[in-house]
Amino acid sequence: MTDLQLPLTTLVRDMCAGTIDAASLLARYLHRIEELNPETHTYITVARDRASTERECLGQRETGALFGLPYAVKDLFLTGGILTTGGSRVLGEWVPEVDANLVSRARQAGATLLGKLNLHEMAHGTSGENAIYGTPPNPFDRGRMPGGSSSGSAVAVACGLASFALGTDTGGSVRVPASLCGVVGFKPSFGVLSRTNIIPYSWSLDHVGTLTRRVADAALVVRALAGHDPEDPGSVEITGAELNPEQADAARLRVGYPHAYVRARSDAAVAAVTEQVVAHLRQQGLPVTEIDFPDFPHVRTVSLTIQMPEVLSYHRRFLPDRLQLYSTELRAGLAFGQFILAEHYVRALRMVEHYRRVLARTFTEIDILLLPTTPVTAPPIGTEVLSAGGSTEPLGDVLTRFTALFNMTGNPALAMPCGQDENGLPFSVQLIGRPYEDAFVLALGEMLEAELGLLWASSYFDGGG
Amino acid sequence: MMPKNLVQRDTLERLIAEFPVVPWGPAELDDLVESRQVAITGFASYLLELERLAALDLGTLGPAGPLQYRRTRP
Repeated sequence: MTDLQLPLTTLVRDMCAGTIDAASLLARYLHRIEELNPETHTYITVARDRASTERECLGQRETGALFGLPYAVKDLFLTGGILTTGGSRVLGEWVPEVDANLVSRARQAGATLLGKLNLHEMAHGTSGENAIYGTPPNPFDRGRMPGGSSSGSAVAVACGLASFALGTDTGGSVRVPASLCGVVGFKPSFGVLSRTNIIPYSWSLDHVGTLTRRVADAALVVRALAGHDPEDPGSVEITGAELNPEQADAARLRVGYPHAYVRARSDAAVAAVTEQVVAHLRQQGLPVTEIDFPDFPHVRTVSLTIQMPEVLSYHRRFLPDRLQLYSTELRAGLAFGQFILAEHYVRALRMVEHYRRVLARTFTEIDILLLPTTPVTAPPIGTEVLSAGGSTEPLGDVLTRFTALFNMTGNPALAMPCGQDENGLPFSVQLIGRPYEDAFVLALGEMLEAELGLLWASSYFDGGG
Repeated sequence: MMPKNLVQRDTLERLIAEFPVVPWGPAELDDLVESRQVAITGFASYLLELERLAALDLGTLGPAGPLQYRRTRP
């Protein structure tokens, strides 16, 4: 195992102790990015100078929860002095003067910013394709899509081009690419991670999430970055201890699995591997109950009814002068938001309240809900509609089938690899907990990961892990 | 509830002319009437779904408020 494959806690410990040289690790990442970025289109901007400066400042302290870790952010995060594009032509050559709150926190915790990662334009889409900056290929099959919108964030971690990455998740935009690329995607409870100075997609639904190799890595990063931010109206007060999986007893958790619900909505292979995960949990002595899960047939409609007017509202200031700089796809989406009526929007918010109450009842019987992350493995690049579980729908509707609900209800949700299909493409399972019980989700994820192991894309890591 | 007719181009043009909205061009209006951007639900399909959603009786249930205010402060 190389340094690039070590658990982040081990890396931090060894860099603080001086047994791994942080400057050398940074240089290795920068070299790897230089070598692989032309083919992976992962980074829109590599912040080589800033990374070196941050690393030099670190040399004077040798401490911090994320000490020496080279990381990267989706290019929706503002970064002072560094180009910020949103994966679009709309912002031109915009160089903000300030950092996103989380970028500042990461620096204070000792992490080093490598650069800005590719995405579906302005987060509007789940395939992760980007005609302007190139589409990051799926690390397990270059002809397959990476998933989005945080495509670059997932591919960077999967290909060893960042030790961890941050993304945003409005309907599944962290968890879907994590699922398709074989890495861990964690969407904490709503408000745990600040959104200040991140280009929004939908204020009501946007969450910041992490892309990491391991569940424990996600726990480390979230604990280091969480904390109340008065500038973000959605921010919540939460302590690092409340996010600590070591303080949650995974062996006592009650897991619910909606067998019939998953079977009816997934590819047979996805349902089968999810049932294997259930079997693993039972072998470890956890009580896994088969539950009836509500149908929630209108989730996608409700989500769109909230998302589309909000994305239009944010982008409206650019439209008088820059409408033609948006892609055709995004322009169509913005126009979609224009013709949703206020009564529809209010009804959608009432539906969200309904969903929250129904889920709260479900979580009186269980502590963790187990679902697939996506009902299919990575589709070919260019796919627009696909079938899963007997219905043919637009790509975005299928890929977010198991994720979008939890952006409305705010539950913590962890996507983690759980095997590969006959073509070597990753499967992913999703663990969902009660709001602000993130530690339970992470604790069970760590227990499961010890059983299932990690996935390494052989094109990028010789000999796996 | 009777299903409505699919949205017509002239309906959208009149809305643009009479309401304070963005002056969308022919390409965007064409896409709303007959979606070519199929990666998300087309507008016409969405409107049909909205009709089904509107048929649900939510009683006196109010809209969801900010989630974080429900949290017990540590």
